[in-house]
Amino acid sequence: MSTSPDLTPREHDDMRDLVVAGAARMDHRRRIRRQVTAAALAVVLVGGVIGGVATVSALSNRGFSAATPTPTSSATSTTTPTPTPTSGATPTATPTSVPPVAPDPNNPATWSVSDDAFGPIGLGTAAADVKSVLPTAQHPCPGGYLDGDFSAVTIHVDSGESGVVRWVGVMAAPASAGKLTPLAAPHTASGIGLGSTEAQLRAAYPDLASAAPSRGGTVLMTGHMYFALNEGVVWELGIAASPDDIRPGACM
Amino acid sequence: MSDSDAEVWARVRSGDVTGLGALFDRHEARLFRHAARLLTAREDAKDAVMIAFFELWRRRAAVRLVDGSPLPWLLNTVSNTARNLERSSRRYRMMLAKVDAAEAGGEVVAPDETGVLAALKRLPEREQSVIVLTVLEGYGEKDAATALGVPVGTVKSRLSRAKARLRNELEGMELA
Repeated sequence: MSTSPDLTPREHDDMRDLVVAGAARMDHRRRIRRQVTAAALAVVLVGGVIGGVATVSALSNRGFSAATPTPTSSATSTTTPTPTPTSGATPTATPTSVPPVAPDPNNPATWSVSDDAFGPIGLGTAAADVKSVLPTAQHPCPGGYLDGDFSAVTIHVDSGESGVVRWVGVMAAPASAGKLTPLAAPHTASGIGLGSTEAQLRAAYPDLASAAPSRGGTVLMTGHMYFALNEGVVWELGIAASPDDIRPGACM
Repeated sequence: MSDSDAEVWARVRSGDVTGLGALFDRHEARLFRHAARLLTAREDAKDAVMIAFFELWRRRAAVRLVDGSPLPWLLNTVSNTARNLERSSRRYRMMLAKVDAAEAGGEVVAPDETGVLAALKRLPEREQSVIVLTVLEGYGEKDAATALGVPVGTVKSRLSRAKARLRNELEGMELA
């Protein structure tokens, strides 16, 4: 048992603040997840209806009829398929879009990177909350980094001031990034991940802007999402409160 | 206490995060002392308490109350979290010991001189939960059953098995 079994008033206040802030943050993420899920369902339903209409229309055009054939001796043909022009029959989903998947903390490949969330971790997530998502994320790395079971995921916690996540990123060795499959690690809803080319990146996010983090290197950002490139290939991506929150080095 | 807990709990259930803060103020001391009994590092004990409150918030629609209070549920969750933290920090301590023996110890609390806590930690999870609620925290068998979501008969049998195991462990230590 500890020589001081009770929390100091300061410890109590700090923990209380973290609990309240983390809970509020959890609700925010849950709302976003619900919205994304609802949108994905809507896309799937609309896609299914359009696909169904397109299929029926195509079959009708080829002379297939779902109507029960009636054996009539009459010479007059009664089936008059009227092809209805369905301009919306062409698939509307872009080939690069990836349906959102609920993040599994143990499988970073299911983690979706969006403007404010990196899988189950968001900007502003309290350090204790990170631990509840990644229970093993308590290895003390130099400079305050934490790492989880997935060795390529690095999380920076600004515990000096606010005690919350300022950036979360996934990275590979720059030289090997070209051999990676983007969907095998955390990736964006557009399918951009480690190993994506700069052309794919710019096609998915036309509003990318160059950022100059203090750590150096080429980084492109849109909102809070950032992508680091090496020889035209994404070798690191994540979300950051600001370019300068993208720190050099990490536990890998 | 239970009445006021029930009022605060109604706020938590409706999504009022300040209610969670009020519950933290009310129960933190007891939960921290409980966590400190089970964990070797003070920081881990603090984490276990915070994680229990995050879980309380996340699962607030399914939390089982005893006399309108979530305290037994929180105590049980702290026990479960403490077990996980102890397991993972043990792994990291072993790893750190290889890297730098000086850092391996960390902020270690006083040893368990009687060995009772060590014996308690070795109990199976289900039996440990029953011992924590009934013996350490003083809840009745019926309340423990409610908090754990099992029949009273199950609590009784687990308690009996746990006591027998503890007795054997302690007798073994005395002989040693």
